[in-house]
Amino acid sequence: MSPSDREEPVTALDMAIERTLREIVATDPPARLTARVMARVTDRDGRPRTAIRAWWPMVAGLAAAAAIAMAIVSTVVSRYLPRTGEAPVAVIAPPPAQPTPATRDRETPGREPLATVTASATPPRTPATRAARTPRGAAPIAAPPLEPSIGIAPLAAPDPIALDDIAPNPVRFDPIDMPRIEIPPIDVRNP
Amino acid sequence: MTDAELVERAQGGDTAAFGQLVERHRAAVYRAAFAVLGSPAEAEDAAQDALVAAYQKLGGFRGEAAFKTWVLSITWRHALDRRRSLAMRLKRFVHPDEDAWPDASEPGPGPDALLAGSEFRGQVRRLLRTLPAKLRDPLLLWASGDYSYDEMARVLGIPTGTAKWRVMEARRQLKDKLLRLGYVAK
Repeated sequence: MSPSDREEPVTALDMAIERTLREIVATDPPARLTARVMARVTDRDGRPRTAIRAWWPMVAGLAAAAAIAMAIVSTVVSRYLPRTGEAPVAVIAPPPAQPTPATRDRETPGREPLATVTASATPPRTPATRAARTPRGAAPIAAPPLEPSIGIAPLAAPDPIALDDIAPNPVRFDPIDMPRIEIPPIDVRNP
Repeated sequence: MTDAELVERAQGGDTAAFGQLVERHRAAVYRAAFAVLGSPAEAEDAAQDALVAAYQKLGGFRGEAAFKTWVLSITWRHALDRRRSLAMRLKRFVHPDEDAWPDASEPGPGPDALLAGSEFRGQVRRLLRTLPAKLRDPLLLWASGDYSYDEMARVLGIPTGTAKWRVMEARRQLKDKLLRLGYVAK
């Protein structure tokens, strides 16, 4: 049985509730409501306001807000993110080279030796390999198994000349190198 | 002149025709907003905004529903948006005891003075605030007398049976609360 079909006894309380609710909402709008509405939909001459006039202030406001937001974002980005010129340069591994005695001599004691080149994943091209190049249409030659790698290119030994360009760490200092200041003893009898 | 004819003239640019439509339906629009917002000032602003929005959207009105139902749907959405707005929530937070749905008329004579007095009305208004909005809104729309259940269902966007059930349930809960307060159902 739906609520609308249910027959409840109508008591004095039910009637009072219904009457009170009607009195609560039986409010008339102010007389000026129509005038206020018409003032917004018509211009001073009584002509209807066009759709353009109705929404262009909102569009202009949105455009201004978007411009301000873009300015703020670009200021934040330029201030807190590195500039394009300061981005780390991609290191292109030079041809593999064996560490030279000059390179070894530059290593300071206590520091880890510089990484040396490991075997490349692909074998270097030789005339023999070029001759054995797969003709068109044939099955490709199986590549040698790759060394297990974590995706980092093997480091090459740095150019010994480049090491001269490395400026010494200005923060690091060796107490041993500090000049010793000699303080002469004070003669109390003859200050 | 019927609503459909006035709408057609208003769509052609006749603002006087739209003015007549406003005059015909402004009371129902205002009471719908008042049912949602409970404040005469807020209801007037919401009603004004809704009628202006209806004018702007008049070109898209195809006549699938009655003009009154259509404009009341717009009013309902505007009033709900206003109720959910940050400003309204802040106002209710700052003034939680402010009288919602203040008395617009004097209480009429009734068979029982206790059930017709201002104290009873005050209790009903206070208990209305304790009802969930889902039940309170249809109850007040029904009480305004401006809507059939079908029209109410279209405005609220719910099936007609659901609208009837919510009104019945709201009345039942209100009655239960009044009985617990000591009012007697004779």
